[in-house]
Amino acid sequence: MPYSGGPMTEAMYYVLLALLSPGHGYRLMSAVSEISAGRVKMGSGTLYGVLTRMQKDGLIKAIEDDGRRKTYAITEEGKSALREEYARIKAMAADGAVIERE
Amino acid sequence: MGYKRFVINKYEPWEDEKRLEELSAKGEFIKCYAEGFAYFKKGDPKRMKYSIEASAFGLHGKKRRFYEENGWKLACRGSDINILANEEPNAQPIHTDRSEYAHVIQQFHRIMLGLIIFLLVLMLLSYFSVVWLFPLLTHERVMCFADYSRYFLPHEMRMSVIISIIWLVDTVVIAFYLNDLVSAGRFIAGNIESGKAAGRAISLNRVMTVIVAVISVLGAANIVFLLRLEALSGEYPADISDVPGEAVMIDEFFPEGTFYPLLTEEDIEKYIVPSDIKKTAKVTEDEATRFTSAVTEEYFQYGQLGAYIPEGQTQGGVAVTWCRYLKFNTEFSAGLAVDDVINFHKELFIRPKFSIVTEFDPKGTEFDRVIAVSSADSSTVVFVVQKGRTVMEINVHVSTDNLTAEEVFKNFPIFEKNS
Repeated sequence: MPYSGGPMTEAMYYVLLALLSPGHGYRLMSAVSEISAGRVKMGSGTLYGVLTRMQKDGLIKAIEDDGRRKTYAITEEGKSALREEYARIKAMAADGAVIERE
Repeated sequence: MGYKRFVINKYEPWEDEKRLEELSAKGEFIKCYAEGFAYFKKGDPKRMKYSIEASAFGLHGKKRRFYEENGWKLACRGSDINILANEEPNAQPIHTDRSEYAHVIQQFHRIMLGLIIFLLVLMLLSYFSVVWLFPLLTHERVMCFADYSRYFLPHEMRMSVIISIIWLVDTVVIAFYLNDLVSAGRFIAGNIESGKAAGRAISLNRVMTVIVAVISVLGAANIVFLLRLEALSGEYPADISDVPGEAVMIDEFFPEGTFYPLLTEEDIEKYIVPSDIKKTAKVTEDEATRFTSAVTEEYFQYGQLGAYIPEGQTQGGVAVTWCRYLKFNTEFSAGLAVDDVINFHKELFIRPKFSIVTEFDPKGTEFDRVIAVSSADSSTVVFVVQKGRTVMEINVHVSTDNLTAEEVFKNFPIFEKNS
């Protein structure tokens, strides 16, 4: 089912964040781990699935393919979706701040 | 080592992965898996990481290369799963995000759906072809269907038995796939991030369950129908008193002459040779057979051998008549039967002779349709008459007098009853 806004999976969100700097498979796994301070560890199957799906949905594109590995980059559409998701998560976090006052 | 029972849940494989890791640490490595059984090969104990994923088409191309780059090799391929092994015991599992794994299951769900629809279409085509053909079933076809199995099966093994076995196997296979589809749908609904996709998976599960149930019940009903069809299609001797009043009797057949039916073999010996004919012989049937079928209410066939003496002559020849009387359940079936009989005789007469089909104007007679099929140089004429649901097929053969269809028709008493 093509992405049409709405909540992203954690994997989508972190891969889009990681792809703000173009990268290939193995590099992306490390980047996701770095961005999340080691909280998110991404498996090969999850990464392969999320890259294939987001490329199909136009959120990312392959900018280099040497036959062995593909280098991906985020598209404008992907950036826009990422900003929307970030705003949504931020709003949710702000709403959830009430729990700290209890 | 050998085979052992090893059930893998492809939707929640985490525990199964751990079991595989424990076994490899003991020196047992999975090599083959199919439907709850796995083959393990003995080797040096080694700590390894295992990952299992649902997959309808195995592991190929770019995906395989991607996995291999990250140290994952295909340890074994099951019918609908990939079991991957990594020599690095602390490697990340293949799938680390349940929402993303739900997308993998979603693809699997679509494939299962396609497979079930394909099987259901095959089921419908194979099981219900007979039911769909029901309006087209003439008596001959019903008899043919009932007898079909005897050519390649033991007598007690009827078509309904074969179809029942196929139905049972198909139903079990479809139920197995349906169970998988429902489990996949539940996993998607519980894990995918899209509410719409979750709702669709659950609706699809319900719709497919109802469709499979309805088609299976229809399949069972079809078997009951076939059993009835077979039970109804039979042959047994009939008494002459069974022949209904409106059926044409043999002595009505002969134009401008006299028919002298023969009672016994001795009569045949005596009278076939041109000679004086005794006019005292009684009308009788040398064979009367009654049939039943799912599409006919009554079906008789009877024939008679006799001598035919043309008007004004003292010598005649062999006359053979054969009449089949069929009363169908519907007028539509009766109409189809008429076409069937005509086509059969047209084909019969076409070699080595050619056939002539004459359609008579039934106006003035008591019949709706009267058609004669004959060959140009034969004394055999086949009449097919229809009135409502009743069809009669009358074969007349006179060895010494070549009668054309028109000549026989012109003099046929039954065609002139209401004229």
